[in-house]
Amino acid sequence: MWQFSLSAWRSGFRSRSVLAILVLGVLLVGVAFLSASFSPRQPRTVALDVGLSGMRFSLVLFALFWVQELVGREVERRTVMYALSYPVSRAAYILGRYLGILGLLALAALLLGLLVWLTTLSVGGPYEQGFSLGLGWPFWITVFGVWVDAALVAAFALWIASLSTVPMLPVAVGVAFAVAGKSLGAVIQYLGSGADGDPEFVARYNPLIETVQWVLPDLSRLDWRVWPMYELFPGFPTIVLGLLMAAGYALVMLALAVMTFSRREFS
Amino acid sequence: MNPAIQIENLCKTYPRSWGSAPTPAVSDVSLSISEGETFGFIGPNGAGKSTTIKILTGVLRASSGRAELFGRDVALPAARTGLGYVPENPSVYDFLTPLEILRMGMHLHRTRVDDETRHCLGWLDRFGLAHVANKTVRSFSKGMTQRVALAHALAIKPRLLILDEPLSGLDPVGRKDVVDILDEFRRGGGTLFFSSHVLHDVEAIADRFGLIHRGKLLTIRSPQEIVADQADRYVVRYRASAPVVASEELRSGVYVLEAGAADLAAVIASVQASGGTVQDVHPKVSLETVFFRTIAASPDGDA
Repeated sequence: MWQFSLSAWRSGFRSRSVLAILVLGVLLVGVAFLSASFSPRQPRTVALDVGLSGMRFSLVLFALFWVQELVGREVERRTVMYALSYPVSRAAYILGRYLGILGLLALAALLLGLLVWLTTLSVGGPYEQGFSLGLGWPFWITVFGVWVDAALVAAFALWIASLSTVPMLPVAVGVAFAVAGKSLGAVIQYLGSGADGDPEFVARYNPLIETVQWVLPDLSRLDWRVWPMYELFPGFPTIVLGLLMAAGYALVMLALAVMTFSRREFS
Repeated sequence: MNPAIQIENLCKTYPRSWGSAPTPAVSDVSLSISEGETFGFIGPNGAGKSTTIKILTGVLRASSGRAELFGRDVALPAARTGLGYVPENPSVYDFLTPLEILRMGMHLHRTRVDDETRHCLGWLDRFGLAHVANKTVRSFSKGMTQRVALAHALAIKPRLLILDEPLSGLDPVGRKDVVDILDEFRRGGGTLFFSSHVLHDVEAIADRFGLIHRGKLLTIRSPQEIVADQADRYVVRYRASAPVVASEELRSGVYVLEAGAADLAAVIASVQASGGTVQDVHPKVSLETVFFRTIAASPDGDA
């Protein structure tokens, strides 16, 4: 398994993804800086908010890109035949690739997080905000949450890649999964608050959302940005439950990926 | 001692689209290959060679029947310990270097050597790749990629090599190098199972060959059996301004004639006496002849 992780790590580094991380990082800094400049109040909070949103978006894209590059494309080009002919189980290949992708995502999260952190510190000039930011542990724990979010999307995309015969399917379905997962929390909250006083709307969509909750993870539970932005600690139960949900869902996805890949035939 | 490869009543069918029957790719193939043997697998395109190889290497699963490597079911990962495999038109990891690819294979096969880097560089050197050992294979030509794949298969110190069209994509020099290396592997006691379209190469390397056509193994023969088949008949090709007796004109100024072993020297002397030049002499029954004869005689008819 370690060998597959190592090769994923090396391939990920040498592909154009590192350049893409740098380009996205520069864009992220630019957008966060501009947003802060256009904001008359709390520019650092705005920069942090935009920066963390950009990170969440970028890391999911990287996760999907690496799953596609390191698994989907290897299946498509039949490079995977080497992995299958080694005296190791197919599970070792899938799990090794996933661990490699987790490592690459961690590096990307660290680099982008550092850029967002530096940008947040550098904007605002002499302006004194009405409240301080949590740019220590709260910030880095929030970045960790963004990484967990991307890791969960990667696990889902890996499962799709393990069964897909269409090259870009993991990316397309992965994007849909990420968008739906990130929107789920807001939708639940909207329905829970009465949908602007429309009981018919609530009655129509509540059963559907209650069912969807069983198959789709609520990725907004991994978004703890209020902590560094306003120093509002979301509470240990929220963080721990969010992590448990992510770990449980990722494990189910990985188990499905291993089962599907182990039964798959490569003609 | 278990045979290196044991196949019994192996069948593989590919499912087709909705409403149509599955396609049989391999039908009831049985075969046993001893340790140290070199077995050539020949057949036209789509005959079932690659499907059989993919089942042996764990890439595909048999629909029915049994396939074992060294007494272990091919479905078990342990069966592939010491198996060097090169698929047809291999595609290796784009962003890794040949040295990294060879090392990865050695680690996964738990191959023990004193100096791993030296061992890998030695194999890369054998295949003329030492100068690009630390370059990513992304920019390599097809022939270079093929040689990386072969070096990877041999660096693990395999007890069994399974090669699907190992000589395709190689230039004449590379082809000769590979044939020499495979011959060396064979002489060292390794088991070699390979498929090839180049019948001359199969004839030169293989101890036995199996001819598969439309999923069915039609015959298993050895070069000795082919020699016996030819009943001491030879074909002489020569260049002359006019033919000697009983010759057939191949093209302008080039003739062929058939002769028995006892008459061969006299035939060559008469060609030379009439001012002709002998171009080559080869057995009348070659692997190619057997190939076409067997396929034509099979119940499914021509190739």
